[in-house]
Amino acid sequence: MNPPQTPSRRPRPIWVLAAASVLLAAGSWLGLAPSQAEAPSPATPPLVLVPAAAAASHAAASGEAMAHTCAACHGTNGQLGDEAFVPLAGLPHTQFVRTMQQFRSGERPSTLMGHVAQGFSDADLLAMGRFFEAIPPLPPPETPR
Amino acid sequence: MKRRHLLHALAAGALATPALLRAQTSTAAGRVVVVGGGVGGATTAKYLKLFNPALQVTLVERSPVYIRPYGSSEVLNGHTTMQALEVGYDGLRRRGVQVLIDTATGVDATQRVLRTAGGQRLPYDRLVVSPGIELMYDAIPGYSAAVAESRVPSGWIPGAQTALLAQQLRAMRPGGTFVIAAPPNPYRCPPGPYERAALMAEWFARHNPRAKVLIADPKGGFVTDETMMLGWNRLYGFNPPEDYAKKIATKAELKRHADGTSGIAWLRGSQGGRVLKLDAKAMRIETEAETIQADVINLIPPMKAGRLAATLGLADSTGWCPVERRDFASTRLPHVHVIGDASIADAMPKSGFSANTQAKVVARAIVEALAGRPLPEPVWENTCYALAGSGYGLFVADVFRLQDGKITRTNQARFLPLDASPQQIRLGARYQQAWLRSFTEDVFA
Amino acid sequence: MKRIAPTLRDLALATAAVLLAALPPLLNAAPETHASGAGRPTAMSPPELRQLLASIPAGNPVRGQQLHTQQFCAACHGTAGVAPTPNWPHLAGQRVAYTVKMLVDYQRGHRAEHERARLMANAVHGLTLQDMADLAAWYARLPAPVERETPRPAVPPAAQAEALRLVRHGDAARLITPCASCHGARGQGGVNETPALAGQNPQYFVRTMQLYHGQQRANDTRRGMRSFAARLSAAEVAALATYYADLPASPGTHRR
Repeated sequence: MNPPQTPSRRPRPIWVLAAASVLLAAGSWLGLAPSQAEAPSPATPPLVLVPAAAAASHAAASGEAMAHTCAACHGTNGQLGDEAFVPLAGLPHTQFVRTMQQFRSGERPSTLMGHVAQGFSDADLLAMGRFFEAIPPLPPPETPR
Repeated sequence: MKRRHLLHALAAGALATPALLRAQTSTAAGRVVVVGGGVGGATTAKYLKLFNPALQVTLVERSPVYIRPYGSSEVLNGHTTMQALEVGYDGLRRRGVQVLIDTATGVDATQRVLRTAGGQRLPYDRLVVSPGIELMYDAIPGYSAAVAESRVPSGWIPGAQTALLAQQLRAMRPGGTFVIAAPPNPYRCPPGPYERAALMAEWFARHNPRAKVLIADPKGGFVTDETMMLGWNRLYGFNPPEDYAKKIATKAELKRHADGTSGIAWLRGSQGGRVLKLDAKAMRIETEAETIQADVINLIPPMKAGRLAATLGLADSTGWCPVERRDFASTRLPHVHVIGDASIADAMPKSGFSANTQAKVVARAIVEALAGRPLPEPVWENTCYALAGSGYGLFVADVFRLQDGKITRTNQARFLPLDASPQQIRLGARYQQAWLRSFTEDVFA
Repeated sequence: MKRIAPTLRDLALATAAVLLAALPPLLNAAPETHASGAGRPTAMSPPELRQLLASIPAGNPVRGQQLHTQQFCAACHGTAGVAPTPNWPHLAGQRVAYTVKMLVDYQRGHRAEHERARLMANAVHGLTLQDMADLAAWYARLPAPVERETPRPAVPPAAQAEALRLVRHGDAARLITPCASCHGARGQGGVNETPALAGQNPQYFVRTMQLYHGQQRANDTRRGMRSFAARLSAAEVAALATYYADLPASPGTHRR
């Protein structure tokens, strides 16, 4: 029985593993190189909700009623397909509230979201956030058909 | 015996007919008829079904295809086509709305029945009327619907007039004058005429550099005026009038352009911009200040609630429809709601976005009322992008609540800040395009 | 092992493995054209990529931070490069080469997978290579994200072990090289422009792999990611997304 002359099943994985090992070693070397002192990674800041000012002279609307005003850009029920705006359905309510707070304060730049966010109190935002969180998001536009 | 039973049955039937009708309309959930398949009506029909799928919802609209007015000025500069403005009603049908292509002709408010030109008698528990606007061509001497269709288009309700205007602008002679006569308050889409002027100034700068756009305006200002004028200053060589220049200069740098070089001129009310008369044959438009010889004229006349509002007795002497603030119930007919441009809605501008949020409030109010539950607290919004140029986006953003019985804005700042960065402005233009699509989806899909 | 002589299939597989695994310059010898903006996006060619990587100037992180605000990057990617919602990737701690390549890809039309990706074409409008280097230098210095809030995709325990195996050993049978061989033993990136993955938003990870799988994203110069994504199952992708999201930032993440 002649030994195989040309590459066969066995040598191939070795090739791959050899190449991989070299690359892995190189990668590890990079990682082992001396680094700068690192700052601690920022933990997710806790949600801070401020009660609405006593001067608010309108009754509280439901989270759902307020959420429907967002649909024209963010999709009916916050379910948006392939569009420049972001879908809100399924968004963790903590992220919704924090994002809107940051828009409202101007910490996060925006075109018009800062103005819109000014129309809502923290209690409003929490109600809206909970509404959106409970809605299943559409499959993302990237989902292969 | 049989005959007596028959007589009894007939008598009972005759007496019971109104009750039967009521029973028919009062299905487990209820029956709502919506008249008007524009933004207000379509949103109402869709959201009624969304909130209570068991409701029977019928939408009555005379045209099988809707031509959207928002963004329609982009046909004039070739950025979009008439066909792209068309929206069908299949989305609503898929949601279980019965779409009836017909014209409403009258209502029996006691019997709660709507009559149509096609001979239908549609019983309802609640009726929602969203008839849009009617253009009062006759308010301008020398103007008429016939003139608008053939020579001096208005294009404020999109359709053949929009296409005609686009054609005229494309064919305008080099160095010609395009006059836009802006309407008096209140009117549909406050920034609209100025966006239209801006888009044409942009187009002319490339294709007809000596052409001029002149806005003849009965008003002294308009929604988004400061941000719009800053855009005109940057893009078309416009020098804002001194009162505006002072306000704008506190936040942004205005370029001082040589007089007479601007692609846009604004003849405001205090300078005699109000239109007195139109001579369509000679293409002359007479304002308080002067008579202007124009090559193309876009005359946007005063307007009032769509004709159906008057037909059904929903409008008052102003020509618009008074409503209860909380649920937009008509103050003139019971069990009828009026929304959209036709309604008198305090601080809310007449816009598609306003109509869209009013529709949602009314849909929810009707669903709760039919189920015997208390009316929920309303909230409305008007958030739209507008263009000072294809790459120059600005906006108005309002959030409204009911305060002391009036619809009141609850956010302070409304407009794109004057010190907005170029990136913010560019993004705004990008979002405007996206908004046209997502808005249409929310209304019709 | 019992084989007597190699079959044609063996030869084909072996050749493919050789090409994929260790000899990048042999692949895609013909340079791909720039995307016109319409139709399918394509990738930079290997020579173009080499030229780009060699020409990235030293970045000024202070200027980078200014640009991050002025150019509205913060609006989506967060004030400290940690995106506030799962709609956008985290940029904090990302390697300079990768950040710059992505910005260039957006500018040249090599990436335009969907509407929110096309927004990036607006975002990079007018940026020079120096601007990009400055931005990238600032992101590279930022503390890498610690991903806690974004819901992870559901991953069965068996699949979690799979993820580790794929990261460290790949899968020879499917010609998948170990993720770590390019993305680093601790997900810190490493080879050429390959990005750091540690702490990345897991939903973004899954979406990205789906995009490579469907080839809506095709800016990977050596087609590696498209090939791997085509062969990974949805469960494996979900497991890898969770693995990388949970990976703590490693010391190498601040370096170029």
